[in-house]
Amino acid sequence: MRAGAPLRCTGGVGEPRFSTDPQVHAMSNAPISVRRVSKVFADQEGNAEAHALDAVSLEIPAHSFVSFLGPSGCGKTTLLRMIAGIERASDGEIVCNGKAVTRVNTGVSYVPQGRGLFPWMTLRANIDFPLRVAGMPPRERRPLVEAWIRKVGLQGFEDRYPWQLSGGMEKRGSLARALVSDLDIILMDEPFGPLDAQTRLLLQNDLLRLWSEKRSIVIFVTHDLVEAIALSDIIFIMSARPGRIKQVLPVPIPRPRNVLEIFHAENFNPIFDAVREAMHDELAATGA
Amino acid sequence: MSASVPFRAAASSGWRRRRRVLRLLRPAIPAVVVVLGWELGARYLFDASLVGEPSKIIASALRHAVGPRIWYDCWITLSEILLGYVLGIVVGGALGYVVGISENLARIVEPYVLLLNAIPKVAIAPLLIVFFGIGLASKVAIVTSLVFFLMFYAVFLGLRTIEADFIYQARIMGVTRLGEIRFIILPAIMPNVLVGMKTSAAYAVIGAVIGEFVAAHAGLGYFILDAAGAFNVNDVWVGVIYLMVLLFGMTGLVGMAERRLLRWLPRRKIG
Repeated sequence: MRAGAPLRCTGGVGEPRFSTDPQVHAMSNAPISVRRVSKVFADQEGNAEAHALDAVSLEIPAHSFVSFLGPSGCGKTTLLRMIAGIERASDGEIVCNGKAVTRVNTGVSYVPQGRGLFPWMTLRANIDFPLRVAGMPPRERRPLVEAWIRKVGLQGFEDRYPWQLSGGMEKRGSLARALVSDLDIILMDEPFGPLDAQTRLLLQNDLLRLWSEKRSIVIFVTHDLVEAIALSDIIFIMSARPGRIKQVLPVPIPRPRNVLEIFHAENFNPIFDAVREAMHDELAATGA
Repeated sequence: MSASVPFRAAASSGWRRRRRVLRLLRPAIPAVVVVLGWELGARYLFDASLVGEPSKIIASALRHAVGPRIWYDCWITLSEILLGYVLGIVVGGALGYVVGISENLARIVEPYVLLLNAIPKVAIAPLLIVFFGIGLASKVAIVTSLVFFLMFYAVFLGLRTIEADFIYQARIMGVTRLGEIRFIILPAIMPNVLVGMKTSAAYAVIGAVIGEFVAAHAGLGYFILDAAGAFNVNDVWVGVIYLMVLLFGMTGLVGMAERRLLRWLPRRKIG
């Protein structure tokens, strides 16, 4: 983590639910600020069914790669979807680039869980789509799209449909599609979840390489502890339902990092122990 | 050994070619057996005037092909089918779409669609004839009433099963309302739409023929009824053959659209 980056957090276990900490209420300059956000899922009659998130507050500094790490059901995906504006908070607010998120947030790129590309478009059409929607003229789009296809190593597969690609290739396409719009905030919801271990490592390395070119904010949702450590500057560890921020851990491993060698990286062991210890109680709580 | 290779290659390629021809002919075997059995049965076992004779049916079909009458009947039936088909697709699809995207509208409209769908359309054909007259309009109405429900449910269910995440993704990319329909929703429901169109084609033919059976001056259904009235079983079959050709033509066109529009669908083999 870069020195002096603002880092505040309330709503952790053992803290009061509604923090009176003036710092949390003050307007901040962080590009993304989550303020006492709660989410209660209701059943069909409108009765509260599940507390997914409980008064979560956090701030994400510019140019940082952060992870939401937690057991399944801790609301990390819900929080990500709320930042994307496709899920409404029951309480609290989310401010993104100085504006409260009240509708679909078109200022972010989103890499979804699962396979991700639109199945009815070729790889090229998929990567081209965000630019086309943004109204960029075809003359400017084409070289950009070709460049990104090259960057993710998918030359020769441009005209394939997603089902004709392997899981790893489709994920690469999904990354290219998220990065092609050149936005400052990229949200990733367990993007490498369904991949096999080797492909995962390679894609994590690719992601870091591509990210280092621009250093947009990346918010990365995962339940994989090593993945969170290998990729992030800051890890927000979330507790099991109702989701709260349990701990905020800066990752002091220097960049550039090699994910394949991350176990041997400087400072890996202490941060690994810290994360594991924090996660241990949570995993025990979910009974996993 | 070097001399034997081309020799063996030549022999095996000849053998392979013969096998390929046999494989191509294999699906025709049941048809040939049935038609041959039918022909022999009609000549030696059954009363040919009741079951018809394939040789005479083919001869009559060819004879009709050069005369104008059957082509006029084809034209009448085809125009009934196509008008009703297109109308049913457009109206059924549009209503299915509107109801499919609006939860509130669905609650009001869907029970009525269910109720109306329970009416056996064939049973009310005489009513439609009385209402719309003996000509084109009544047949179009019958065809539309059949196609409408199939297309309504094709689109309605297509929208129900669409993956919401695709829509969210596109919205995050900043797609407009119209773009969302064009680039996400329409392609996503296209498999359902094309299945609906294929099934509808067969139903459209049935609807037109039923209408012509009830009351008509022309059309292939009328042709068939006319032939049956004259105890000309062979010509009944001729009418059926021409109807089949119409249906093949329609499903062929839908199939072409399908190959063009659904190229992106995974070609999985089951079993």
